[in-house]
Amino acid sequence: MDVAMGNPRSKLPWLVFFGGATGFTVAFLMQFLTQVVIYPTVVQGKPTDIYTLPAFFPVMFELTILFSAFTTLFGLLALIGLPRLNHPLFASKRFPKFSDDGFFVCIEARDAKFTKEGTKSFLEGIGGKNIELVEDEI
Amino acid sequence: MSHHVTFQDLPEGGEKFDPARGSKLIGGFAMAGLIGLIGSAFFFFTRTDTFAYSWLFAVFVAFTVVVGACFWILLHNASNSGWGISIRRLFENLANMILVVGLFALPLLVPAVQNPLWEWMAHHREAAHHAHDSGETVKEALHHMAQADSHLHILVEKFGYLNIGGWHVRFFLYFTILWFIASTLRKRSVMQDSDGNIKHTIWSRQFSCLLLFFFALTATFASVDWLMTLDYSWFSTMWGVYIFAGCAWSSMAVMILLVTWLKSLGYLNKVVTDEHYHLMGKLLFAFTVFWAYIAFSQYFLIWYANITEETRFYLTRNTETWRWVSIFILVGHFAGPFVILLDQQRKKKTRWMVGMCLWILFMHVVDIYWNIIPERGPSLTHGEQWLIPYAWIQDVFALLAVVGGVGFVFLRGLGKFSLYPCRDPRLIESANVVN
Amino acid sequence: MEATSHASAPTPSEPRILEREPLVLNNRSYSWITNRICGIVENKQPFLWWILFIPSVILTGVTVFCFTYLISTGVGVWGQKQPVAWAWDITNFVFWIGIGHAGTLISAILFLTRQKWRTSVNRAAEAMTLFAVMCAGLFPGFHVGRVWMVWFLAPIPNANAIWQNFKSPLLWDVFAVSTYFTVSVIFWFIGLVPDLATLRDRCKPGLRKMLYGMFALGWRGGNRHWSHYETAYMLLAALSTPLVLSVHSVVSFDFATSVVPGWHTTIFPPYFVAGAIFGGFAMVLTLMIPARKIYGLQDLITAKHIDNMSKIILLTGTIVGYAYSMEFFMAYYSANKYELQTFQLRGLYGPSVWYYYCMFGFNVFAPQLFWSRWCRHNLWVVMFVCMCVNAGMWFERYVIIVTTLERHLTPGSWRTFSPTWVDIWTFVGTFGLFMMLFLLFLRFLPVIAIGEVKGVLPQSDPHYDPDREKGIQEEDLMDYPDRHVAKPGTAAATA
Repeated sequence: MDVAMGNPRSKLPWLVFFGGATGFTVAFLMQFLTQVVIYPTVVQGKPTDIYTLPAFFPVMFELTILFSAFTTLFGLLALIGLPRLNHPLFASKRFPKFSDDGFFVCIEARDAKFTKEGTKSFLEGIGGKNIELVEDEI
Repeated sequence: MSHHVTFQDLPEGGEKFDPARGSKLIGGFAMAGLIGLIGSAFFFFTRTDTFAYSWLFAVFVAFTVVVGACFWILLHNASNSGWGISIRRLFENLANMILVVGLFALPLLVPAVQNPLWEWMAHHREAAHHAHDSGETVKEALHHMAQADSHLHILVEKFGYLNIGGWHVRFFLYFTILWFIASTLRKRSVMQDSDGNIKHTIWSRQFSCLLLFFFALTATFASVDWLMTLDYSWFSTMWGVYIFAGCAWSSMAVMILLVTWLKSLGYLNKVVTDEHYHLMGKLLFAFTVFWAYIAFSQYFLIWYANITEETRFYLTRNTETWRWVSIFILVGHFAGPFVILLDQQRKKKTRWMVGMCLWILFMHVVDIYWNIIPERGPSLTHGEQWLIPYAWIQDVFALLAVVGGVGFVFLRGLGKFSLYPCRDPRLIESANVVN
Repeated sequence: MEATSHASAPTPSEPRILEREPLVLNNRSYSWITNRICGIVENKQPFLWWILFIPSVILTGVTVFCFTYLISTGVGVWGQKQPVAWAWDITNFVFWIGIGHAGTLISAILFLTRQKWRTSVNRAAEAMTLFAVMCAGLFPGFHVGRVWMVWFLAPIPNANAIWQNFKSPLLWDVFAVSTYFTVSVIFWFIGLVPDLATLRDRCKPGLRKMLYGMFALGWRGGNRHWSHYETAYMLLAALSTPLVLSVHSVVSFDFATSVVPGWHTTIFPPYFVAGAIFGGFAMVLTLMIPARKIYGLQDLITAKHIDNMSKIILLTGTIVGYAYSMEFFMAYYSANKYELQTFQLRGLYGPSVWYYYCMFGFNVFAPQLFWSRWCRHNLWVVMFVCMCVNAGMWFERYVIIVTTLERHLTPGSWRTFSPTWVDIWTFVGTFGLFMMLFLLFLRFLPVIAIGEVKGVLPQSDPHYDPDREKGIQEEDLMDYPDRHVAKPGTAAATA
């Protein structure tokens, strides 16, 4: 479907990559600064310098994942423009069928080729039957 | 959208490989093997002590790749998978190289090779000598020796497992089990080529499920017997899993290279598509991460607990030159492949994948090297030297001999059967796989 | 039989293709699936739901009471005294967190490996993950003693100017478990969005529609939506997979980084993970077998699904058996007297050997029944084995934690643990909490991922070609007596 519509691949992976990198850095700095710079404490027989790095690894890993997951969630919402609790489409009577076993084609008015009449006849021309003009109430 | 491949599109009886078409590579392996063997023979007689390590290293590299192939066919059959049918025969052929590897492993049975490698064997032989003189059992003699050298007490404690007879029995057992698995599965698969009976598929699945456990034990104890006992005081419960992770990883890399090579010669083009590259790439990526997970956990737990007899292993590998090798492995074995294989599209690009797989094989060799060779200097010089100068030349010759030899036999024998199981009931599913 | 001679006739005399079993039986349509799953939420709950729900609420009350009693009195009301400072509480923590792992495994790892059968069970399994992690979090939370001081765990500047010890496995646990919970919630929620939209579209206007509408975020199912959505789902699956491995690994670090014989073992991380998946799958089956019966979901959660999950239990049970054996072997092989004695006391002549036998029997031997196809297809046997595994995994944690501490390095301080009534009822009560949350989930949210199940129907395949060469199904080929797919001919494939 994506190939057919010529949609570009989602940019989300890039966002997540940087989200993860941020988490990794934050975790490293948080641990290094508190354990080595601000308040070095010799416990568990571990050094208080950079060589204690392996012990920081679990938290670095967890925060990488946490930041990545948050980036995924919010990145997704930003990319698809949700939450948007109301949408003109919801007024359509046939709309609820999409989440059951139907599908629909929506041509938005901001599409450059959109004209009220032209689009309607175009859709009829390619065999569409249930064509509906959905307008915003405002 | 590509065309849906059906049985009508595929040549009857599958595709047979003609060794003449791949003569360049086959010749290359033969040359490498020949040069390696000549060098190895020279070092074997002149520098037996140091060369023993080289030979173990080379044999173990080949062993891991073959064991990995065995794992992939077992897993593929047991999990009822469909995608990899087109490449399964290649894995079957690779797993059947176990006998050739066994042939190359025979020098490891020579006492003059064993004694410098596995010091416990030298002690046991000494004990046997005493026992012969004084008429007591070997264990008792070992116990007497331990009174003079208290470090040997460990060997008395371990006698039930670590004894020369048991080691040799297990040595043959490992090869027998692996050969049994590999040859049985290939036999079934080849039978299906001619009679097209679907029940072979079901049978192979049941067989693989049953044998998976024995495979796990074989891989584990082979790595215990050959590698872990290089230092008889060291131990790690994770060891078998660690070696296994490298096996599966390197074997998949070999497979991607092999498939690419065969495709470039005009084979397999109808049944292996970009999707297969993607899938193999994903598995390669999965095992990159799995290996890192296992390797890190093992290192981390030993580093953290810092118990003398355990931490020695990493202490050796964190000193002098070996320290840089350790860091190199961290970067080259994990970080590099991880970042490169992360990208989805890159896994479908043959050039990237070929480069990556060559690199992965190199890193696998480095990993095995790093596991075996650091024991050589301290063992042979009683802790005087970390490295034995110029011994690496012997390692190269040994590697050339074994890899060249196994590679040559493998590629020569590739034409014996069809390159893919041509009447497998899921071949069509595999050829059309989309993921 | 020559392939070429059949070029004109598409179907040869003998089948040449082994078909996959259908994941949804009886050729159900899209709208049947929507109606059946949404019906669970929209219709009145069956009587049995109430029979289960009311005791669960009561048990939840018991656990609340126990914790209240513990806070007002002190951790001493639990049975632990030196040297057994970790006892039932940590056992229960590891037990519950392990249960959660199967949910993430099904939703993430099986997604990445394209195991399509996961779609029928992933939603319920993910919900189970969340509830199990909630139950798990209670125990260490209250074990700290002064529960109102737990904010000390967070790395924020405080009046004492002391920072958290990031070298401590216990702090890693805090990060691991909270990350795990958060990411699981995100994953679960993102998976729910399209289904919430379905529920929203079916509701009459009112409070319910408003709530479903709010959580559905205005989902319109457009192609760009789906395109980004699928990328996000894949990314979350890819993130959850290492996460789930890391969580139980970090839990295992609590033990394995120590120098306590019996705890310090390098195989602990993968062994804990395998055990967690093992125990979690047993719990998924324990919940789903009754649920599918009560709500009539046999066409969606088929015998094939149960068969697959049984096989995973068999596999992971055997891996766990491998780990038990390796531990024993290495205890011997290491020639470390303390290590060896710990294992002898655990398994041969210690005070709690029967725990060890329960663990081994329930976890390693009981699942071996699943070698038999008959056992995998007999729901009573499956339930029996799952119950064994549920119990066995608790015993495993008890063996690791308590029996090790009971016989520590100094014989002078040896002491055998016995639980108090608070220990027992706190733990029993968490089952009530778990059940209550799960029943509420059944009541208000779609138990099966509607959108995803539709995606695995044959007619959803863009390359679906009704005329292509038909093969044979394994059931017909092997002629199994207890077949669960209708004989060919009775159910013709229709688009």
